[in-house]
Amino acid sequence: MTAKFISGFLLLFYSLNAWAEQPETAANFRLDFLDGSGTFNLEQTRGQVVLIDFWASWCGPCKVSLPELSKINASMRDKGFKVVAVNLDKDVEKAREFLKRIEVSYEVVHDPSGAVAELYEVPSMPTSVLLDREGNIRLVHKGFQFGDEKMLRNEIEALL
Amino acid sequence: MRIGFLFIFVMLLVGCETVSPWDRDLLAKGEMMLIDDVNEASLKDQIYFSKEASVGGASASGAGCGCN
Repeated sequence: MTAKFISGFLLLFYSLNAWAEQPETAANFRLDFLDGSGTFNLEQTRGQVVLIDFWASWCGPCKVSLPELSKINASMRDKGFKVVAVNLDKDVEKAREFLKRIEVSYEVVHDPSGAVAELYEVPSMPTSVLLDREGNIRLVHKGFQFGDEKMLRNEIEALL
Repeated sequence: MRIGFLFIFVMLLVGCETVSPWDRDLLAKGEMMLIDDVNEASLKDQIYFSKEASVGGASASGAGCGCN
């Protein structure tokens, strides 16, 4: 009886563990492009490895992360990878001014209310969320400092 | 008297609020720094860390603009 109870408990414990390890599917969202060229829909990127980057013009490390992500995007977009940057400035003009100084090779969408940031429970600025081809969250990278681009490149290449 | 203190204490607690990382644009402004002169801050840090014989620990994660 005791053996059955223990084996039952172990089975339940390990099955729960296996369930917990299942990657989480990224919540879908639609946001307008910063340049006013239409609306972005995350669902339409299924089949591609996507890096969602949450940033703002007032965030210091974003001055480092944007050019690096731009380089990664430019060198890997032909392999089925894309970066989508979600800008969280309340004033859209500040984001546009920032992008005049730092040009990027990827699409930038605007989330002034922070609704998508809340949906993804963004822990700090900037935050990058890496999705695989099935739209599952594979990595949440908080902040950005020199050298992080190498780690991100490796993680992206592993998913391509 | 005690109830009065308790009331004030509870009211102070009510004033505490967590600011989301994406709402910290105002906190990231230069004028929100305790010492807005970078040179002065650096000098004070140098003196402080020399006296303490240790470096770091002067800032806390999650404070300010929430950047890193």
